[in-house]
Amino acid sequence: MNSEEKLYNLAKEIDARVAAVEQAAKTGDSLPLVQNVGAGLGTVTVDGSGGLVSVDLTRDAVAGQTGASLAAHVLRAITDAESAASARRKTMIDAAAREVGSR
Amino acid sequence: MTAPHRDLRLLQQQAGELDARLAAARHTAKSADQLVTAVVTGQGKLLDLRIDDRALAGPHAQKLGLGIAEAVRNARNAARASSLPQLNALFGKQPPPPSPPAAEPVPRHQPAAPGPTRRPVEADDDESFEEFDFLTDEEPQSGGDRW
Repeated sequence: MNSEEKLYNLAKEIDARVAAVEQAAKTGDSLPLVQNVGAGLGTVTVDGSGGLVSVDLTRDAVAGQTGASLAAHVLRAITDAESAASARRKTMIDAAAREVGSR
Repeated sequence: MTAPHRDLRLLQQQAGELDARLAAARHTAKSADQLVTAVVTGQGKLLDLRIDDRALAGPHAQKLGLGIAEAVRNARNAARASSLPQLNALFGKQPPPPSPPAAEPVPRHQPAAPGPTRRPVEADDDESFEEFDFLTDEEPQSGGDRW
């Protein structure tokens, strides 16, 4: 294989890796993640990149809470969900990059 | 060292300083009914959430989940509105033209209460600051026996 062919193959590999990473990022962004709020208070949903989408609380469970205790539970659930979504997205991107590189 | 390298180093240094400033900044906003307060950093990271005990009773309770999401979204919008000019200045982009202030719904039960530190944000599709964690929120949904 001459040097031009090597360069061409290298460029093709880079293109494929970029495309795979972009696709993984897109897929990761589109997948919501649902996290339970502690004490059975409900769930929070974040989008694939970690942005808060909704907070769904269970009426009966919330009735026994104070504002402060509920806020602490919900805050923890939101931060956990956002971290998990970001980590999942990163894992998907890393996996896509590795997969193309190993071909 | 060549000039482009110096420029790159300077840009990296300035980006690092801006990142530190954004991490140290705090933006606070409330839900429309003023019963939920969210505090985020300039990067949009949620730091604190406060729920007034009144939000757990009566008609407010049914919309508590929406109120929480709204307060977080408002705080992040404020953070984004505050940081965008700084990001634009750093990366040499023109800031978006100022928009007329959006009409804020005034809660009926607390007409005299001070509003949240909320500013309208004009999303600019041409802007891309992926290294900063400014997250897009969507309209929340509810169903079943959830609020």
